[in-house]
Amino acid sequence: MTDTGPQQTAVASSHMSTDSKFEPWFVTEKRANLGEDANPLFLRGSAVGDVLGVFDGMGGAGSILVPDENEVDKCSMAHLASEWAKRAAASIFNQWGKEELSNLKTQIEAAITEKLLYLTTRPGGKGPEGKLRGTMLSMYPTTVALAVVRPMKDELRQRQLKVLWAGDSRIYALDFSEKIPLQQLTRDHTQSGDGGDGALSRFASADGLELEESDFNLPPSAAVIAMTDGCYGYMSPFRLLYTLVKHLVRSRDEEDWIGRIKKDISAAAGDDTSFAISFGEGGFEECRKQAEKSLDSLEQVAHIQELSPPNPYIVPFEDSAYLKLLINHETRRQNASVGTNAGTDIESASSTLTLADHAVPAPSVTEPGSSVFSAPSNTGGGKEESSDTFPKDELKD
Amino acid sequence: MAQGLRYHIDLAFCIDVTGSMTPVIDLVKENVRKFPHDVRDALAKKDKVIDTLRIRVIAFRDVASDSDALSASEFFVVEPSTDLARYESFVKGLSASGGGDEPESALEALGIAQASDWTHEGDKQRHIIVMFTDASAHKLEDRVGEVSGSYRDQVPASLDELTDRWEGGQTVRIRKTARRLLIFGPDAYPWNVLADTWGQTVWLQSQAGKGMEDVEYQTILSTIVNSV
Repeated sequence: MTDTGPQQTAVASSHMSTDSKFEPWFVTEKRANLGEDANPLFLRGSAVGDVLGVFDGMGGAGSILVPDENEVDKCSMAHLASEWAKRAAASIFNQWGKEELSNLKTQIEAAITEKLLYLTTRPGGKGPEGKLRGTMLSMYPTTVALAVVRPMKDELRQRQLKVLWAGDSRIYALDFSEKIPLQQLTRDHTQSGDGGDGALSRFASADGLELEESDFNLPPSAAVIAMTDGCYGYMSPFRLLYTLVKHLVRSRDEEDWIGRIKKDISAAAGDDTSFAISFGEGGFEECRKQAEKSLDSLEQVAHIQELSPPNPYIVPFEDSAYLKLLINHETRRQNASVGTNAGTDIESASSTLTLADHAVPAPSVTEPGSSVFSAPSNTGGGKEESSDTFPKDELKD
Repeated sequence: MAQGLRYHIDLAFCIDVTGSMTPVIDLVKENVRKFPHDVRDALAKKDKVIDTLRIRVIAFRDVASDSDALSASEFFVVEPSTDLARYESFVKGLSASGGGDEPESALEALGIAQASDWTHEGDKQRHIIVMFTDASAHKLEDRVGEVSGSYRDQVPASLDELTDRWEGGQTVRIRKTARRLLIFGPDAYPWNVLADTWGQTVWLQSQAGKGMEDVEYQTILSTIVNSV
């Protein structure tokens, strides 16, 4: 977490790995050196697979001032929580081999809780002892969103994706075979489940952590993105998608793209931001090639929003085409057990979702994708029903 | 600069103006007076610009012993500074007296604060109640005295009812996602109960006869600012 000076968004984006390869992630801070988003966790080609993680310390609940890491100055609990949660998760992934991921969730939960609990044991680590209390406060609270991508040995060249999260940091798939290429894979732990301004019902803290977990089979070229609410909370889903796609097509290379989207996203954000991406087969170049096909249709409608006053809103998780597939996957499984044909359900779910369903005009040139996206399982968090009605222009609260 | 989001913040200060607050009332008044300026500056440092900040003050004593036990202002618009002078004048006019012995009528004041005409304007709202007291509070159920005139309908008959309102009851305009309660009060009923049972609450424990130290004021300020 670094800064570029007062009165402007502080930006960190070092991204060279030990083998001098550029790592596609960024983090920005609204207040220099007081940011509450950790630098993303980014592992490429490790034994466990590719790993992305973002961690957003919760400034309201974690506002109590405690000694900083060097015990020289004071900082908020939130500031320390995200960084230490990241380190804990990294320590698990660094030890993980090629074994199954079935107990990854419990190990990460334990490691993060242990680290955050340790922070409370430092002198002054609980803040002004006994003077501050309340349901709004937590000891070292932070969101967690993790994605692990592993190759699968199947004919479709699919990849296994495990998603673990608590809070309102998100994992997305960027899949240009979907009509709306940016697909939200996590459901926020807020009252409404779709971002919003209310208290989080799940997050990591010294009191413990219960991650939600989902598993997906990714098509070969789909990228996976992790981001905190600073990235998605201040622009419409369309604007976020358009920002990613526009710069994908126009950038010289991966590093140029990260620089461009960092600039646009942080300029819009009223919060710290952190973002990391793991590209699919063919890497950045393949992703860019696919993005070119989408850009025309997005450009056709982009100017309409440009003419309007800024009106940010949050797409509900329930509107994710991918969730519809997830729900229909469950429906198919259930229907299969009573002898009905559910393959049709999946196709119709995919084809009925268009950008017109969202609060932006529909591009007319994009055909519905025949996605090979599939979802083997979800351990809680998916809604039982989905709504085809998008609450237009409704802001999260 | 963050684009687009409009922040609307409403604050209700509940201030104990009984005699026991005499040693600290000037400090409380000074903190309350400078609060609009401090909160605006602190938010600006986070690159957040307040569209509208409104503040009202509910001064309370003891309905069991004081005829003027409850006095509430309207919401003053202090950012932009439309009503800033009137707000400062209202705060300046507060003086500590009466109250008899503990407890005081803080829960009645809290009821009036809950029933405020909270804003639903803008993209993001905060409905914040800040309680300053050095005493415990009468139980509403005890009905120790008559709540006068226009406030009568705003004060619930029991703590349960007050709690229901806070936790999402539809009888008041306060929004569950926007609400915050900051208590600067002693380790006594009901503060030690509310701190553990009401959502989105922070309790900064005060000591009898001692005012709010700067570090405590900064804590309240940062708690509000960080939750916006």
